[in-house]
Amino acid sequence: MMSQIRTIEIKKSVFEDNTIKADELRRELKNQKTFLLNLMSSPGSGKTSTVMGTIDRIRDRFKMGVIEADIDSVVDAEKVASKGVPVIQLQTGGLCHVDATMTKEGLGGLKTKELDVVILENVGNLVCPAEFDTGASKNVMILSVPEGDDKPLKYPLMFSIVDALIINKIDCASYFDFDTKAVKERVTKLNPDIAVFEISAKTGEGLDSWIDWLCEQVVIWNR
Amino acid sequence: MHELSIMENVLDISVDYAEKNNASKIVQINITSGALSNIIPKWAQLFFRMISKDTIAEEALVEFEILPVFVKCRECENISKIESDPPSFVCKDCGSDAVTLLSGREFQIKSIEII
Repeated sequence: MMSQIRTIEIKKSVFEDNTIKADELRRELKNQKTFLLNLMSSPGSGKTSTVMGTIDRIRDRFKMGVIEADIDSVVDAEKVASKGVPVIQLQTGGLCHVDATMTKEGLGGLKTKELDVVILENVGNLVCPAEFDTGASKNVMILSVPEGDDKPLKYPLMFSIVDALIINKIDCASYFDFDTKAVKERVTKLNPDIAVFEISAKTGEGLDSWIDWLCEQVVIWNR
Repeated sequence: MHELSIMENVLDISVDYAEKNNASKIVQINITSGALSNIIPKWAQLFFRMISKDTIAEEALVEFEILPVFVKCRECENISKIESDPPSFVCKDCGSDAVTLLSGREFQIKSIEII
């Protein structure tokens, strides 16, 4: 006799479990007054350099930690560790993004309760990290000048979910046909409330207004 | 791009529901996916075949229903259905590109068929 096929309704979002875990983590971090910054970008946009410049400018005000997420290697973690800031390397082993569970593991390794600001350097990729809530207080992305001003058109989701956009490597703008005004227009249409900063992590230009914004967000988070 | 980890979740959730319903086999998994979800059905199905080996979902068909993309205009407030490939984030009524995405990013397991 043939077995009867039964249909079971599920209607469950595949992202739902991660979203619930991310919300839980955000609540825990808020209670212990730790601000978590999720920093996303393409590979080679200057994430680590921006993290290093940010550490230099706020480490006197806040106790900091860094979570470096890479598919493999510990190169970035070693650079950050040379600053004397607690850092943990998450090797995602081929996974293209960090989710809330992995972020929580990373935070556990950093003794978060004693830290004011933790920067999560997400895997270099403009697609997948946009889909997974890490539990961060704020989401920020970097777009560097050599990548081109068309990226908001190609990766609209990433540009629409972040709280701030850092345009990095403005010191080499004259070598590239990079239209900053066009980027701002494109991004504002996707995300009207986004904050935009133009910086050079290399020369330090523009970092002050980024730092002011970041510090303000930390103060608001700790209220 | 992240079809593998997504399909691992699909497998876990499907097997969980199937076992709760005393199934011996999952025959089909029905997924609804927004046209902007960045999930390519072909890759998702391929990965699913790999990871479902030796589970009750082995050989299950994974069917995708692609949902359209809707945006709401922030100027005239009309809701329009837009093309998704490539996405044109423009209001069909007034032509403004100041639009808010209402739907198109969903990725849901709608149902499973079990025996």
